[in-house]
Amino acid sequence: MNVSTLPPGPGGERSRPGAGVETSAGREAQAARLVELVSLCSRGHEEAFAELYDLTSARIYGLVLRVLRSSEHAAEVTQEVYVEIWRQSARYSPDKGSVLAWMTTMAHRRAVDRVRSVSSEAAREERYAFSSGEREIDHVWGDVEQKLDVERVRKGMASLTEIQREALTLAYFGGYTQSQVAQLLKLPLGTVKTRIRDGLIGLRDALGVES
Amino acid sequence: MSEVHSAVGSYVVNALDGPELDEFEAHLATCETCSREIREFSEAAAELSLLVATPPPSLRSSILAAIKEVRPLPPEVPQAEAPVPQAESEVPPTEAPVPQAEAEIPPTEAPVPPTEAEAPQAEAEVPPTEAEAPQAEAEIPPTEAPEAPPAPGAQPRLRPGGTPRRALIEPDQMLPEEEEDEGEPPPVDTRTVRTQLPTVRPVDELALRRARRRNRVLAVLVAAAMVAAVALGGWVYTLVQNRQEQVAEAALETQLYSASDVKIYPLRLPSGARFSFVVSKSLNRALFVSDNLPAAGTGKVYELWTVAEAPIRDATFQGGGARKQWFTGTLAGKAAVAITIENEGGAQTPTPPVTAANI
Repeated sequence: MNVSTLPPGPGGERSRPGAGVETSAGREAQAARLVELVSLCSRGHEEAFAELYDLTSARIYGLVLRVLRSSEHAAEVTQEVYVEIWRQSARYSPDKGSVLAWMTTMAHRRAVDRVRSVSSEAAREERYAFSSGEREIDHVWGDVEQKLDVERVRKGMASLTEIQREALTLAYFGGYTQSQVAQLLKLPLGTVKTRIRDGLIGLRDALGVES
Repeated sequence: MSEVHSAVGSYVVNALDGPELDEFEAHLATCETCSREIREFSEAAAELSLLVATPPPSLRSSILAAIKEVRPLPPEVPQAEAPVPQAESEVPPTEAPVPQAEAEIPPTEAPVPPTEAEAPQAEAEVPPTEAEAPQAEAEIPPTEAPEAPPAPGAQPRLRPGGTPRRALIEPDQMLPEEEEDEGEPPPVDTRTVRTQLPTVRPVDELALRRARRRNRVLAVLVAAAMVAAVALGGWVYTLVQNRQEQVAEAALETQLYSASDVKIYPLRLPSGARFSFVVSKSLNRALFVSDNLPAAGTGKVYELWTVAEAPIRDATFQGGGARKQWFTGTLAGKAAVAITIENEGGAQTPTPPVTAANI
């Protein structure tokens, strides 16, 4: 099996690792390229996997690191995620969503599993020490803002109410369960559920996400 | 909207646990609205991953090595009488003629040249910059790097998952995990560290609790560093023999990699060797990292530079295998960091070719 010839991507242009493609057309082209790459992975193309890694690793690692807070844990979980993506590549289907959503869902779940596993109890404690309400949240969005494409995401987040943003941030980046979020915010569980869901609805509508 | 339905957002951000999760997944199986919302919310949440953190350079090669030992699963083939996905070995080959046959070839058996050699460009080639330095002053005496450790030649090991996982967004998209995923991280002995902590008199309850917490945090740092060391081929382990130093080193690196302004500049030496500068201006620290740095040559050393108007000499060190070297000088007011090969003892001004990154 010759894997040295990899079909070129749309436009023949590859992103620099971590740079991402930031224009709207670029995003679509990249989304299509990611689908191709996953398909090639399922047939054992390691080069395609390397390109997939280069195009997505900043976001995947960034997300995992944000949840786990420890670069060692993040490197480990990121490796697990990518090996799993390689293994599961034939199971990906574009009708179920974008490659990026598939990958980030897997990465987020792994990161959260790690946070909640017994072995990282102390790491968790460390994370509690880090967390300090508003500043924590600002820091998260401060990082997001450094990206070229962030204007869109920033506007999306800005369209949410402060309370929606807070609940969503604690759940998504904090890796807390909804019950823990309820406790942190001293709110009834039902209210927290609604805020998280409303936050995602607001974000979906603001970002014009198509299903 | 039913109570259970309202948990759809929490489900997408993995904020459900235990019975809540079971209850929601039971509901999900019958709720078309929830399935659609999950798809949409997952796309929206994916956008939140636009974070800037860059993975450490060693992670790429570690992952690319790891997948060589993993066979991609075959696609799921729908079967009329079997709603539950079958294990791949049970799928009759006739059901999926062509792709199935291809997927059957384990990637490890393919005569694939090392991925490293021909992987898509992972690093930005930075042409050597012309560094003109008539008279660079040596502000910092050259620091002798510790002896390069023998590279154990161990391939980065695939770390098994081990964590129980739920089905992904679409339950039917995932097969039950195979048992091969079972595995425990290597046991880590943290006792040494524990005993080295200062003893606290029991009267001070608060201090005791703090110490316990520190103790656990430190233990986790050590554990995490060692797990990472094993995963990365054991080179961190051999690099620093004293565990105390190892903790300090790991903590420093953790601090660097988690700095809000950390930047990683993947580069290539004229010899073709890959390396990265990891730089945080806010911490005023920079690190040279290479997984496989060739020897500088007989009577030669690598020399690091920080560049303001003129290049200022920094640490010198030997090559050979996995190598890390902290910059010793300040980054304040510096525009670039660079590396050259110089005669033993180091040079006052860089000898081209200079490989540099503007910071």
